[in-house]
Amino acid sequence: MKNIINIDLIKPKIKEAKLSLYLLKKDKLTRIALYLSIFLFILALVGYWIVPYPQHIADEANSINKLQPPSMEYFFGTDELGRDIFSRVIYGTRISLITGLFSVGLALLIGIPLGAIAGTMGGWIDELIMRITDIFLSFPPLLLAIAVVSVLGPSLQNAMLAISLSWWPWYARLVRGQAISLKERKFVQAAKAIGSSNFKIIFKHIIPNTVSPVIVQASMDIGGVILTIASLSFLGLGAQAPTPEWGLMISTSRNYFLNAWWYSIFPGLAIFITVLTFNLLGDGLREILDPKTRKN
Amino acid sequence: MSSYLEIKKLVINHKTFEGIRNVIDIDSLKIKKGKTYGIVGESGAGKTILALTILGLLQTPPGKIESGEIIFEGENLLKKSNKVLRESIRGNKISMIFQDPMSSLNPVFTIGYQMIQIIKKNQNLKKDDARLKAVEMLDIVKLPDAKSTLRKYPHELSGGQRQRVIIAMALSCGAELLIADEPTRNLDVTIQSSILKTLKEIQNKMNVTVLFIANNLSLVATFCDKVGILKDGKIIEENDVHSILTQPKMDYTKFLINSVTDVKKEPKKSNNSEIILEVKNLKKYFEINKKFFSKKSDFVKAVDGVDLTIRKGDIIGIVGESGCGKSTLVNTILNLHKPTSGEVIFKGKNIFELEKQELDHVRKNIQIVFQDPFWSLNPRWLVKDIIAEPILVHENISSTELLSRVKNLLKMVGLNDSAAYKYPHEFSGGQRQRIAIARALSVEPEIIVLDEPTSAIDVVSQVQILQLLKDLKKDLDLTNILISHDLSVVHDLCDKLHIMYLGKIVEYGEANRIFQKPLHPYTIALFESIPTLEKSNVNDLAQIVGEVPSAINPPEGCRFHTRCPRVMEKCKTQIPLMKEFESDRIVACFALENDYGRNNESIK
Repeated sequence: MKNIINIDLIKPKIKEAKLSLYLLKKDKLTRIALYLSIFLFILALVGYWIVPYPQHIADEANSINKLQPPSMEYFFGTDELGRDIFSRVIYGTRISLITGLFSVGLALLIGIPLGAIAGTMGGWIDELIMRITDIFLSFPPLLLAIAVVSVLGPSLQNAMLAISLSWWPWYARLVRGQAISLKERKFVQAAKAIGSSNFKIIFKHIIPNTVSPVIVQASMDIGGVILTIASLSFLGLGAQAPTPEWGLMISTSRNYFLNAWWYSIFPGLAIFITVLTFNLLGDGLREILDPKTRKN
Repeated sequence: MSSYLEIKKLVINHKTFEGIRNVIDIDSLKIKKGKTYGIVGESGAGKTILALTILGLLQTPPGKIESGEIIFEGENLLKKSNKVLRESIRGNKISMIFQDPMSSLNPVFTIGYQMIQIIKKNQNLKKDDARLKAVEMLDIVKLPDAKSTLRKYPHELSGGQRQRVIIAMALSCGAELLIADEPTRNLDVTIQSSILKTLKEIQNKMNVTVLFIANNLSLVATFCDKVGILKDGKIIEENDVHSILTQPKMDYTKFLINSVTDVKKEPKKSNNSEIILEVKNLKKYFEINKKFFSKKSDFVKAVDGVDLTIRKGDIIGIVGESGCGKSTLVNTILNLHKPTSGEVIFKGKNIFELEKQELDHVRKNIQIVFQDPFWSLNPRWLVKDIIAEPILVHENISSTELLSRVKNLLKMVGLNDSAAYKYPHEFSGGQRQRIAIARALSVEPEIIVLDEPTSAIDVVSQVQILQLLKDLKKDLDLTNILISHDLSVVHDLCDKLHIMYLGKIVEYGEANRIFQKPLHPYTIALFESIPTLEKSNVNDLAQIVGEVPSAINPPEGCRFHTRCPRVMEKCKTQIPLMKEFESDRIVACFALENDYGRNNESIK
């Protein structure tokens, strides 16, 4: 019993990891995306301690130096209160990644079980769940999120909640489609013949096998979610001042657009890079996780 | 006579993430014009790669042709550019029939469109001439009513008809070398025999050379003049069919021959132990709403009034072609479907009327091993969890005990302890099937249903799995229901046999006696369709006409009458009942009633 975690347990993982590495090695773009995303995560983790002006992340005003162009002192210039935009953009990574991951995570938590139940059970349960998702899908996600936030009141937490609420139907649909094909697989039939409960079939047999496409979809969506959060903040429905959220920063920068180009460019660039990174990462993951789309 | 196609020192490597793997290493292979050369090998032996290389269709990368020559009519094909190959070799000189007729036709175009396109392109004919040519080719491959076939879409044709269309396409541009890559693999034996006959006829008529690839030695022995045994990319033995069968040199060849040679069995003494499972007049219809507005719906009569009696310790075989309802039958017995009517009585109780708890008890006692070991095991579970799944559902035991039981089970099916901590994809087909068997055995069931347990795995593993099943049967006194279309498997294992056709059982009796003397015309046709080593010519195969009719509107009267060589007027209107003709030989056929000259009382 003591050797329960023995080498045999790890071997298949090593082999799988080798294959993934091999595929990764061949795909330059995915490799870049992977490095970039690791970089972004590190920035999010240690950003507070490495930025030159951590005090500017909060509301501390420094009005002598307001709206300075980029220089050696302030890499990305300063904003209307004289705060260092570089420090705020770097710290913004943490906010964007957390909100992105959390929103997608919540959407997955709602969407996966509902989709799996609908697909596996079929019949009226399927109809009920899918008609509800249809209702959600009939609104554009951003519009739905705006509606939800205006009901709940503008704040970053509510924006995240709103995005999860408008995003889960996509996962429910994806998982349902997978579940419908998986439930015809013989191992599910075998589990039924054995007498396993529906609960066990859904959560132990169906859901683990839908993981790959869901991971791919989710990693691509993180970019979209970050963009939506930024949009909500831009409209004043997400993060509130003085939070250094990229969308909010761009929103404020509108007033100084003509004489302080750096104020909107650098947060915008940060959004661009983050979204692109996650999209490329998602594409690459699909290549690795889904053999059907492999180029050879 | 010089050779028509010659392969010299061909070496092909495959680049994978685990390094470079040698897939083809052929010293020399010569095919003479007008002859049929058969290549036999297991899956993974490199058969398809060889075929694709000859056509210049090998994917590079990952494949890489290291060295060698393929000489066709005096020219090296490997030196030719893709353009030359496309314009003057493929289709015009060499054609290929792929193994899966379901996916080698484009489903969104009609048969006619696809054929005419090819003919127009390759032979520079006008559309009308091309159409005439297409009709002519469809007639050659014996498709009834060629003109209307041209207007059909692939899904409107059966697998056998599609394969005929593909043969017609392959030959429509005057190809002289035909590469047939397991052309009958997914087809039923009766369809297979008629396709092989057609192919042979065309070959003789048009003087086509055929390179025939198969995984089945008896198929090749029946169809080909010369055989090469391919193993791990190497031709290990090559000779005339006759010499290779009588004087095999390599151990592997001997093994292949032995694996398909019938074993003579001792007659079983009759079994009078208790009846463990009884199926009474079981029917399962699937409803299909064909028309959108009409309320009347059609039914697929998958299982239509089947009776079975299974005694403890018996191995019951159910044999039939695909679509005869054998899988639906077992799924209904396992209570995966609700039946339309009828009863399944397990130990005195009808399983369809049981409460949940009693049903669980029945489920524990009837376990199944599925056909395809690749999808019957959850790919994300460790083997120990897969095997333990039934135990956890039905019993409450500690994890230590569970692990020791799993290890015991692994030992029983001939696998190592270390297998417990691996995932299914690390095992070969045969090993996976062992895992599936271990799972079925884990709760010590009384009945194990084997749904084509060997049809998806290679020959070597097949023999081993059959031996394992025999050993387990001896040790554990199991009762088995074996479903198969492979008669050699059935002959090897079964005591009793049920022959099924379109949802009905047409013949029942002791396995040995059915093999010695089949009675029902369908059984006879089935037995004669199967290529064996003794049948050295396609003419030895059965001449059975047509295809299995649809189960949606099965023929009136006897369901076999549309294809039966002994059909009478009576067969078209009345349904023959199961009657006992000799002791313990129960057959449903009017022609036999005439033969035996008496009207036995019908027995149920």
